[in-house]
Amino acid sequence: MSSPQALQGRWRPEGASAQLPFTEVEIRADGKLRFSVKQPGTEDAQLLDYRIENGWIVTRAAGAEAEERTGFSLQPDGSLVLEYGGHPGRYLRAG
Amino acid sequence: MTIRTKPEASTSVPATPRPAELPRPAAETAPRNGLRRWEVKDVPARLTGATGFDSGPARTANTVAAPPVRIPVPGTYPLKADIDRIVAMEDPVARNHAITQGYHDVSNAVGELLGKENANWATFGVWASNQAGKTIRKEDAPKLFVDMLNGHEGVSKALEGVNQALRSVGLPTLPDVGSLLGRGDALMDTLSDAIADGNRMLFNDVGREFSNFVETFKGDTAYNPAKVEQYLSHFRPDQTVLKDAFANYALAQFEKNPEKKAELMLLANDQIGLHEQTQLQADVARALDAPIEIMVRDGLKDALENIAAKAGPFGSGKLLFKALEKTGVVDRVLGPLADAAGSVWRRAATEVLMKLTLPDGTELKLGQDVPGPKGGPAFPPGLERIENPTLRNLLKTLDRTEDSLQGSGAKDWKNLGDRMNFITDLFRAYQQDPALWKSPSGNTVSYSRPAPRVS
Repeated sequence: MSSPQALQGRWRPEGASAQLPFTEVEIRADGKLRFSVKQPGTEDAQLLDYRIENGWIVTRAAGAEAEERTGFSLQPDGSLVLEYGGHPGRYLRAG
Repeated sequence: MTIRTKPEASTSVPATPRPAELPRPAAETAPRNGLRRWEVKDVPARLTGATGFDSGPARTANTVAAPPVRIPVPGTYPLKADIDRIVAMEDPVARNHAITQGYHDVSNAVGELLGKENANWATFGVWASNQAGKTIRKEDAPKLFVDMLNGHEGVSKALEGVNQALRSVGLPTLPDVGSLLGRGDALMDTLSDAIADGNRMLFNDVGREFSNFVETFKGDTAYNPAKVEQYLSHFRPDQTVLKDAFANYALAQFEKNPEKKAELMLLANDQIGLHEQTQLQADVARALDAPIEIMVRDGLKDALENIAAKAGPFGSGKLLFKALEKTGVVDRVLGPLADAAGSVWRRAATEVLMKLTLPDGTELKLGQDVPGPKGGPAFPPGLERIENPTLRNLLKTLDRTEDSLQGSGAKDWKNLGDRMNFITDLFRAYQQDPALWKSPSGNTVSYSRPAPRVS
């Protein structure tokens, strides 16, 4: 199992393109996860609380009661695979 | 119109129209860019007329010796009440089955009166309605559309644009548009509804008239001009072509010369073909001109929202989709895909509409030339050369390739002239094909029985 520290930092989808809107996941040490959709000049973001549980990133939006569970695994090549709703997506470290 | 007598076949046609009345060859009427297409308004009224009712020398006798009296068996063909019931059926699939059967049964009843050496229009109508049923039941279009979508270069290119956007936000890519649209239910409904409406409208109009014709002339032993005139008087002013067609069937009933009879039958069939295709124009256009791009764009947008909701990590689907929509990227990437899919849809719908399966299973692609009946010449005996001037003039206007099946394929099914160019050759080539008289279902139906005639 990956340690929470290994997850920390900013991640972008493998196919992120600067010419198109792209997403970025910032996993912080303070238990906050920032998910944003960026494109030049604009950014939409939500800040979530998170914890790690047996291969899951469990998130909760501020004021929400429901939690969301996103599977994750860190790959030998250093990439991060997030899996939600049965759909895996590969993310690479950003900057 | 005054009906004086049943004219002799050799003189039963109007004199050759004056030059001003003749349709000018396409080369004369086409602009230099060649874009002009024949339209129904180009048909001079004279050319669609019944054969020789208002010209030619009157014969001294009013009637012609008749073949043995043939009376269709009561209850084996639909009467007015049956047609009322069939066209009122709400289930389009069941209604289409009843219409196809109705055409078959009324065609046989007409065959009892006019003989079965030559198909009447309803005999062809059986197979056209049978084909329409496949579209109404959505048997043929969905798979064709999805297959065409998935094999289309423009769609693939546009799909890659969508997938780049999806990859950029970490969403799963779309394997193909077909699976994304599912079976394109809204599109299929559009096509199915248009075909079902046309199927009902024609049966209510032309099918009903065939039944009326049988009821009027069954048991007659000789051509009776006064009776024909009385019968024709019920047609509305906007039904002149249909009226002329049934006037020609009435003439054919007692025509003894087989070649002349074949020509009268073809003339009547072509006239009904022109009438029905004119009536169908709105439904054909509705099927092909549906706002497909908008429907596809909305369908794709819904599908994308669904994908984002299901696959956006941390439950971010809603935010993700809204953010993408706000940037305009959704419309930007879906626009070309919707345009390409719309173009494919029109081709698929055209291909579906432009297909006719004959009784022996031969599938006619209406975009290709009419193939001659198997093992025979292009046209049956009696129709190889057209002598009847009215028919010849009608064919000059409708059939772009005189006395040949080459060039009969329709390029654009939305174009009435393209459709008639195909249909006139189809009718002429297959008019004496006995297989047309088969029943697609093999069913027999009991209809109302006419009330006994009070003398």
